[in-house]
Amino acid sequence: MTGVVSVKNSVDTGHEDMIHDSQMDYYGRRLATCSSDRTVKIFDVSGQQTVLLATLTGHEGPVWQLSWAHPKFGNILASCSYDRKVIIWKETSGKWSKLHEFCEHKSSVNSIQWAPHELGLVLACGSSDESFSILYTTGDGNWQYSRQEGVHTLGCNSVSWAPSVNPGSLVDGNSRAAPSTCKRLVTGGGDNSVKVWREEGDSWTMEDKLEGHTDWVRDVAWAPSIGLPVSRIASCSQDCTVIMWTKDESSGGKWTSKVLNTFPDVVWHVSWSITGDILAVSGGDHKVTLWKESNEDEWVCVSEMDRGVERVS
Amino acid sequence: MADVEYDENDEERSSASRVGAGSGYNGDEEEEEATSSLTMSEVHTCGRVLLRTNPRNSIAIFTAPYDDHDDDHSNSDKETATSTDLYEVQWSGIVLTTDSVRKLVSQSHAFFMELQEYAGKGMDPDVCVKYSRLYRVALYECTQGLNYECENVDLEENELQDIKGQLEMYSLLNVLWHLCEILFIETLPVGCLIQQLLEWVRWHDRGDTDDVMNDVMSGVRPDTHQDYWSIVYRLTLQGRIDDVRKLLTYSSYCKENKKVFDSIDELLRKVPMIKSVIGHSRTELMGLWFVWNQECKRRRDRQDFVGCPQLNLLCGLLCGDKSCFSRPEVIDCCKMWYDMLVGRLLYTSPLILSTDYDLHVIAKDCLKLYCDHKGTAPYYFDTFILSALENKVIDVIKMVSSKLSNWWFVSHMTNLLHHRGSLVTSQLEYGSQLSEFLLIEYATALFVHPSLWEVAISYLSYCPTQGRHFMCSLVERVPLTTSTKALKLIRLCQRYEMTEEAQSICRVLARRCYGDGRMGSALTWCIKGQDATFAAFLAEKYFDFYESIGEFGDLSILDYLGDAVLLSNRLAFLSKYRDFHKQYSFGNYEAAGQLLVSLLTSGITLKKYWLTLLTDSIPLLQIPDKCVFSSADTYELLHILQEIDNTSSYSDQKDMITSQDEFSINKISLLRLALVRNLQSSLVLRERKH
Repeated sequence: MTGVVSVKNSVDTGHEDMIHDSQMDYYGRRLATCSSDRTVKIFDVSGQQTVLLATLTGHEGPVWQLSWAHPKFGNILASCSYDRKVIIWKETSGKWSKLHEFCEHKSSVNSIQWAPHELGLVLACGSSDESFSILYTTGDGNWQYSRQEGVHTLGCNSVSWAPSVNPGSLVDGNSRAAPSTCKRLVTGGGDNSVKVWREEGDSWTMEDKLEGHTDWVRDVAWAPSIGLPVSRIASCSQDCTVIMWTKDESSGGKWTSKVLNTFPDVVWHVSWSITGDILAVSGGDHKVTLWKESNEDEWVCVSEMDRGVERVS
Repeated sequence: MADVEYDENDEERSSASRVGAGSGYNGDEEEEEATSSLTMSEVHTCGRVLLRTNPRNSIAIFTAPYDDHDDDHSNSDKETATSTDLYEVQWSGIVLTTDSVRKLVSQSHAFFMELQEYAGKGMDPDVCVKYSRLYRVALYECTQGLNYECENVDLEENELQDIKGQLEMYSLLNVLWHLCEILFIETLPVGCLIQQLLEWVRWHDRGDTDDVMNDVMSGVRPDTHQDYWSIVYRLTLQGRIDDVRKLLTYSSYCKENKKVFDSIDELLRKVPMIKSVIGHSRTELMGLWFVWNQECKRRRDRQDFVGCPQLNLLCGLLCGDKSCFSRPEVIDCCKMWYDMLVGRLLYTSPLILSTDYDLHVIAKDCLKLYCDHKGTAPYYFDTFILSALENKVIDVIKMVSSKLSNWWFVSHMTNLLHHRGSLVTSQLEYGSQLSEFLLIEYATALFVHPSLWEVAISYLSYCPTQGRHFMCSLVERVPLTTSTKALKLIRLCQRYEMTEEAQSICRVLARRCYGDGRMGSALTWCIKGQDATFAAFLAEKYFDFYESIGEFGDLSILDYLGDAVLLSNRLAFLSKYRDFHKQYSFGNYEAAGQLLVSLLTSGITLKKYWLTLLTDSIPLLQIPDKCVFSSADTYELLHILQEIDNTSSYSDQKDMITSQDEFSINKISLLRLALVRNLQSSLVLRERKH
């Protein structure tokens, strides 16, 4: 049960072409959107009115995805585009400017995400050139990167970081001792697979390959930790399914999968709520559905939103 | 509306969490419709829907046209223009648009916290009862408040409907809560259940019975009023015997037939279970009732009341005759089916216990009779009541969770039940888990509302297994809009030992202040968060600033830091350096000199700052007739100067000497000269002393 579902706000972004991503900052006060019109727009949505704060230009192709860094690093936003570039933007005294441009990919960069802030200012980027790269800053304006080639044939479509806390260390429920951290991420690609990667020393090794989809994986999302020694990944695909992958870390087990649902059309996005208890899914059937794990270990659909004909009052 | 996607028949799966429809309880919904009714304007139809979740329990929905290879999509007659609108759709587990509900939230929060305190010391059932009643009072006040809000003439129609919907829901929740309190929380002596149930029915009658009664009695001939007998039956079912007797005195039949009246009046006077039963054993009460019941039957069989059919029916009710309870005129007089139920229990099984199977049977029967008579299906709410009467407490919780869009009831009730011990059954291991699960739901629902983050965190702090985790992840999401709020947050983090989160918050604030150029404030936050790294960074920035401008800017903060400067070496250095400047400005040249020397020799100063510090010694070296530095000190300074000269970068790049380097070269020569002169003077002075 999610309760009342209502339209809180509608934003006329003013983009001149279709929108590909929208991300709110950590506090839910600012909204960034990106579009095929090659711009990124930033809005203030903290008040009753939505106010456009900035329009960032610099990409030469459709901008696919955005990611806000943790506020402790300042106001930093990353964007990636068909133009093979990843741009990191920073706000200083109310003005946005480019902090860094990363151009090492050979084709469209499809997905980016900042790592959990405990790991520092680290950015993962997935690209159609079948690789993903990890950008990190050494603090004094210098950026380094490491690249992992051949991750998915036909392209890496989506990247998502695991929570920084090592779930295995959560077995002892409420222990005050600081749990150990781990650096893992999940990618999904055109080879229909979902892969889990772990950093070891200077490079990344594939920890697991999760197979189950029969067509391109469009989006992957690692669930935020809910304080239990369980890891969950949601993936959605061109094959019209959403699969929930679960690993019980307390028993050092393997990944098990469960098809959450088979939809009537391609599923494009999966996205977790910040507390990791609700999964939002959207697909080509014009519907958005919210899913929740009931306390009987079943995933149930708790809401459907349909794009019907009447205007919402 | 499109078809429901998932398996509607899968009741077990869906029992825990189907969505409620709209806000508040919609009494007209008869079937379980599992779809929520959110619709959006038809922006364009040939698009796929994309979304992202947002920190404030919302999702942003934006659309994009299909890719070219999806040409088979049959919407060619609609617009193909892309939409650049974005809809933010939020889900909320409690609607907080009204003051009354917000008040309920804060009041119940206070009670909740008190209750948890008691729970920690070992739970006394009476305490549970007390708090159940307190919650109920809060609920009642909420409904009163909502009632009042409905009268606001400035409301828009949809706002009014919304408030009315909430009023309906909270009123019904009040009824349900009361029943749950009676059945699951109270510890009742024998025979008391029926009294509690009677009180329950009377209390939630909302004055309706009284209104009708007064209306009937206001006339000259009450017994000719159309509702006369109806109200008599109703009062009988509610056990309001004195009122029944009073009403009967107005009956013309009774006036004319005094003996009949006396007969019925005597029966009424002696209805057992109405008055206090404390002190009697079950057997005694049973005996009392049996005797009375037999007498009722005897008088009816004796045809005492045949002259007046309504009176006869009344007697039939007293006898507990099931057929009488099924009569249309009796059913009609009941506003709710459970009015009928309680009446029937009073006269058929007054000693019933909440765990008796008969209770379930009779309840089901009454509901069915009522619905059949009215020609309607049971409302959601009736099924909740029925489940409670069937002693299925978990089912009640589940049903309310899934059918109403409100976590308030289930979270507080389950918590109370958990403490009372009512959740323990053979099948259920997760009593405390269920309580915690629901509290977390409630807390995360509250968190979305900007002013309720503290309340949300407070609830989470009482969830032993997962609460801490949610607290840690949510506390970082509270917008740091004012420093008061930030301090509050930090104190909260400290209280719950969330040190990393407190540090993170301090870092965010320090970074923000630094970005705004407020170095002093930034430093304060660093110290608050014990953030050595950022403090060091700031200290360096301060110094770089000083080097380039020649002025210190706002460093007054350093004067008040005391021991806090030990957080970072750089900070300690900065503080001491400022001391040096202060001493100089006060004219305490010797003290200043000593400070300078100790700064340079103690290793606290970064090498890159040595030259600057040495340059600061020049004015001290040039004070006429005074030798600030002893010869030993001067040797030290010379030594340092030499090191600078040896290791400076420009000496490695002799072919790239810049004007800056030239300046440094000059400076070094100047310093050397000044120092040597000072050495000279100090040696002479020393000689003179001896």
